[in-house]
Amino acid sequence: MNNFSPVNVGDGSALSASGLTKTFGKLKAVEDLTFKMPRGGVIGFVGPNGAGKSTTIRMLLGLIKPTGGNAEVLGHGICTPSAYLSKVGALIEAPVFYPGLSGSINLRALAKLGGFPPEQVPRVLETVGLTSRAGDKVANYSLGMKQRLGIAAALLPDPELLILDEPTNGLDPAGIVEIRSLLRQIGGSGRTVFVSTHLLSEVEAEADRLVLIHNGRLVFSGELADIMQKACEAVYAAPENTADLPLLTRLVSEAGHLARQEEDALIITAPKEWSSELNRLATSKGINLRELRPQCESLEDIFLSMTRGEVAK
Amino acid sequence: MNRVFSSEWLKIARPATVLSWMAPVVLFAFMGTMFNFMDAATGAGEFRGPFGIAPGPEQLAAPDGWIIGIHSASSFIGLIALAIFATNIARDYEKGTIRILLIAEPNRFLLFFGKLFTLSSFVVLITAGATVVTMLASLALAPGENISVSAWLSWQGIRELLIGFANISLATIIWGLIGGVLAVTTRSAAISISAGVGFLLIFELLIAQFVESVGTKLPATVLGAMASGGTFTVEYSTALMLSLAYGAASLIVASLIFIRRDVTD
Repeated sequence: MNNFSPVNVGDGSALSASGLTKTFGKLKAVEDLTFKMPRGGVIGFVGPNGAGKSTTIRMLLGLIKPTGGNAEVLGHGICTPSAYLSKVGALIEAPVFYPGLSGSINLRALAKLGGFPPEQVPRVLETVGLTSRAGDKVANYSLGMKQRLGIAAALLPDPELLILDEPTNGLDPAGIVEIRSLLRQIGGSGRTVFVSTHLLSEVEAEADRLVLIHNGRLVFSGELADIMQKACEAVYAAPENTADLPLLTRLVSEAGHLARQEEDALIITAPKEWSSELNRLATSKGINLRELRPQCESLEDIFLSMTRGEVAK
Repeated sequence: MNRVFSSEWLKIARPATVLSWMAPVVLFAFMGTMFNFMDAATGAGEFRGPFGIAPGPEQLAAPDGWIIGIHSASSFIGLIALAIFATNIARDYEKGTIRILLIAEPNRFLLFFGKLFTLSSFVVLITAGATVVTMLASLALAPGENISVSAWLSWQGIRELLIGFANISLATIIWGLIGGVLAVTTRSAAISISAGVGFLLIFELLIAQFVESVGTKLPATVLGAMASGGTFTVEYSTALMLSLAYGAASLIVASLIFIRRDVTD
C-alpha cells in the first residue's frame, strides 16, 4: 500500500445538503435531507438497502438532478459538477468496467478521459494490490478484484474527496482489513472519505463521522464518538460470588443508580466513568468483582432504536 | 474533446473490435462488387436482390465504375454503422460504465460529442477499408468481363473515387447518428438495433408503398441516394440536403437527451 501525502484541503465543508429531495414518480427516494460534514476523515453514510444512499450519491456526483433542495460538494453546488468532480473520486454501486479490456487499459482510458497523469495508473494499481494482474482482462477478475479496481479508479484523480459505495463488497476478510486501513490512511491525510454502506459494523470500525438515513430521511448526522457515547451509558458488573448480588444491588441503588439483574450480573444505568467508584464501593463491602466493564449498545442497536423513534435525534 | 477522443480510441482500437466490425462491411462491399460484375455483358438491368439493379458494362467502365460495388452495399454498411453507434453508446448504459465516464468527464456535451466524433472516425476508417476492397475487387474482376479500367485510373477516376468515398462516409456517419439517437432513447443496444433495422428496412418500405409522395424523402432512401451520388428517383442535391437534415435532427435530439436525462442505470 502506498502512503498518501498529507494535503491541506482548506476549510469549509466537504459535503453539505439542504432539504435535498429526489422523487421518482410517486416514490420519494430522498426526502428533505439536510447535513453538513467538514473536510478530512472518514464519513460513514449508513442506511439499510433502499434507504436512498445511492440516489443521494448520484445527486452529489451530478448523475441525477434533485427534485428539490440543494447540496454542495467541496464548496460547489451540485448543479455544476464540472467545478468539483476533478477533485472527487467515486465508486458507485458495483464496480463497472469494460470486460474485454485489461484492468490497466481500463484505468488508462479513464486517466486519459479525466486528464489525470498516466503515472497515476501504476501507482493506484499498486495501492490496491492489483499490479500483478493489471494486464489481465477484467472479464477474468473475481468480484473482489473488480472492487479493488473500482477503488483504484476512484483514486486516479488523487482526490480531495473519495465517495465509495459499499467498497468492501466481495472482498475476503484480509481484503476488508486492507481496504479499511487504506481508507483510514486516506482520511488521516486530510482528504475526506465518504463511505456508503448498509453494514453498521463496518462504519463502527472505520468512520469518524456519520450520516444515518432511513426511508430517504435523515436519522442522525454528527460525530461517531457522540453517538457511541450515548450507547455506553451502562456498566456491567459481575460479582465473583453470585450470593453477593443482592448486596451489590443495594449499594448501586443507594448510590442513586438503577440496576437490573441479568443472569449472574448487574446492568447498571450509569456512565462508564462510574465503574471505578462502584469498584471501590464493592471492595469496601468485601465483594470481589470478576468482571466490570462499560456495557455498550452496538451501532446497529442504536440505529434500530433511532428508526423506531425511541431515541431523539 | 481531445481527451474523450483519445480515451474512446484506446477502447475501440483493438484488433478484435476493428476486425469484427470491419469484416461484415468488407464482405458486403465485396459482394456488392461481385454481383455488379457478374455477367456484366448480359445481366445489365437485372434485379440483384438487396444489392439493387445490376449496372451495364458502360456504367462499369465509367470513371466511377470501380466504386459502384460499395454504392450497392451502402445500406448494409449504413446499418452496421447504426449498430456500431448504438452498441457503443447503449452498452455504457447497460453495463453502467456511463457513470464512471461522467465522473471522469462531467461535461456531458464534451463527452457525447467526443464519443460521436470517435465513432464517426471509426466508421470512416471501416468505410475506407471497404472502399479499398471494392477498388481491388473491381480491378480483379473487370478483365474477366472485358471491362476497360483506363477511365478508373485517370484523374477523373481518382476524383470520382474520392467524391464517392466522401459521400458514402457522410451517409455512414448519418446512419450512425440515427443509431446514436436510438441508443440514448432506449438505452439498450438490442432494442436500438432492432428498431433501427426494423424501421429503415421494413417499415420505411411499407410507408413508401402506401404513401408514394413521402417514399423518396425517408431516411434509408435518401441516405442510399446520397451515398450513390444520386439515383433515378432522388437527385444528389436533394439527397444531400435531406441527409444533412436527418443528421442534424438526430444530433440535436440525441444531445438533448444525453445531456438532460438522469443517469439512473
